[in-house]
Amino acid sequence: MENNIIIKVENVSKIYLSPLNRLKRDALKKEVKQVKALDDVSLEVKEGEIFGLLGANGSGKTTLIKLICNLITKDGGNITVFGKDVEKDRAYLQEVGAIVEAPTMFKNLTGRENLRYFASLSGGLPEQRIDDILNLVGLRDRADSKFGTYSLGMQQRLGIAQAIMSNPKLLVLDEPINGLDPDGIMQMRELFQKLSKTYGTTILISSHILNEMQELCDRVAILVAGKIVAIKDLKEIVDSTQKVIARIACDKPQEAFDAIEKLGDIEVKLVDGQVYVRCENEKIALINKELVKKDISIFSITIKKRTLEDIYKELAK
Amino acid sequence: MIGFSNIFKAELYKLVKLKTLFKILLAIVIIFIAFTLLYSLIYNVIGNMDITIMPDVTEENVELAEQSYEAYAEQLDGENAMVKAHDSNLYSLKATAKLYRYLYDNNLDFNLVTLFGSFGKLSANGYITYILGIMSTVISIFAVVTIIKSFAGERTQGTLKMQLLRPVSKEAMITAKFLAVLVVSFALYLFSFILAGIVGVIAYDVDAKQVVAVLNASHVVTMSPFGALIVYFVYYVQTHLHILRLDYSYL
Repeated sequence: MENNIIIKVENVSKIYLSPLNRLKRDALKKEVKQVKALDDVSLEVKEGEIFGLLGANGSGKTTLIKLICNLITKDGGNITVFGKDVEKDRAYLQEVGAIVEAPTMFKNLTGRENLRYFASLSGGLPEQRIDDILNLVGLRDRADSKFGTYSLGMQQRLGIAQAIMSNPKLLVLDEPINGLDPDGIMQMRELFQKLSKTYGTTILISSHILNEMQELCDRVAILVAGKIVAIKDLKEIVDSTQKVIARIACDKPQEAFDAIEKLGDIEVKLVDGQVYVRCENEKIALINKELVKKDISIFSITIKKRTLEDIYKELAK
Repeated sequence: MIGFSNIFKAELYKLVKLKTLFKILLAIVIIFIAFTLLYSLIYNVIGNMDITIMPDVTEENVELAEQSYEAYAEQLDGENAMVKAHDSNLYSLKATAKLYRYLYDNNLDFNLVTLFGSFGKLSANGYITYILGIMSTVISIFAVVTIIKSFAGERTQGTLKMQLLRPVSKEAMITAKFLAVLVVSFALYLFSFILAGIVGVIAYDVDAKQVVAVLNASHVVTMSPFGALIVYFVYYVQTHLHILRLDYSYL
């Protein structure tokens, strides 16, 4: 797979401003209340990868996604998708499937009819395909009920269905697993992975559910208050030379704490009778030997692999 | 316009699928029944009254009409052609003068046939024009409400967002929504026209008198009642377009 860049975001900013305030700011040069949703954001999404956008509510994930889909205009920077500027021409949306915020469809049409309608806007799809897609997202039984009667999870599934049905080159998903039950989350994860591996679909997915992101994504960007604080390759996180956190349960915690402190160059804490250390993976064996030497009985050493959650906590202070 | 044919078909599908069309057809039938009864009632009463609005066609009156026109035209003599062309009094005086001259010269008696149908007599023609008048109001309201719903309602529902996520340009979207409603309302007009025609011919006598019409206050023509109905139909469709602000004279 070539490493084409599918989405390129360069120095993009977006400010939310009411029209009246915009007038005050531009014409009267007054200070007005505005929300800087995105501040000089840059990232690149390569072909075939699953790229995650992580961040708290209100950090700018949905705004960025809306800008990429040309639903709103930006206040600075450049966005290109498939090499073309998004604001020039809507035609690129032919190869894009998207869910933005909640999937809203016609309440008085059935799931099937909704899919037919949206399929026809992009040029139409064979009936068999719509059938297959409904099956794939688990809506076969409720396909012919009105959309207004769907639960949140079902609406979400139909939203995903409409995004993937035309087999797009790029999937842009804004919190797609929002409202899904654990079964559904797993199903969707498998679906996305399959789309990426088998069809080479590029997927941009935003969420704040960290462990799902960890399972699914190849790379993630972490957004805090409209700024990108990190872009990480998830394969690099679980690396033996990185630091791990270990919890040591033993019979003499205070002595253990002193002993480890003496070793030096290891972060150690004593909390509620448990000793916590943070150091390189290799040092754990060293700690073990040291404690045995001091005649301390070790009940357990539990190693917590450094996860996305840890990284997020560090960065999103 | 990118994606125009797609969204046009989709908007038509939406209008039909959403069963608003069936609701409207039902409403039309109900209105039909109501106003048919009303029509029979009113015109049974009026037909028995002797209402004369326009003076008879006598030599005196013909000359009166022509003199009134000339007198008024003299008043406007100093004005430029633009002003004269837009003066509605001048226009109707001229039309009346021409009409009376024609009727007198050809020795015709007349029923006052305005655009509102054969006045005062129960007839199929009158019925059709009567119903079309009512229907045009109903259909125009339907058209305006549906167009507004297809924009604002979709914004509320959120489906506008879904449509914007498709390769359809904004121009195509606006034109398609507009055109779809236009096509459907024209079909409804046709439906009303045909239904009124059937009901009218069955229920009432056809007034087979020739229709005399003054075109542009200059030419007087006669046409069959059917021809007049077609003209009438076209007139109402055009008024409907005006309501939708498709003022084609400026295109």
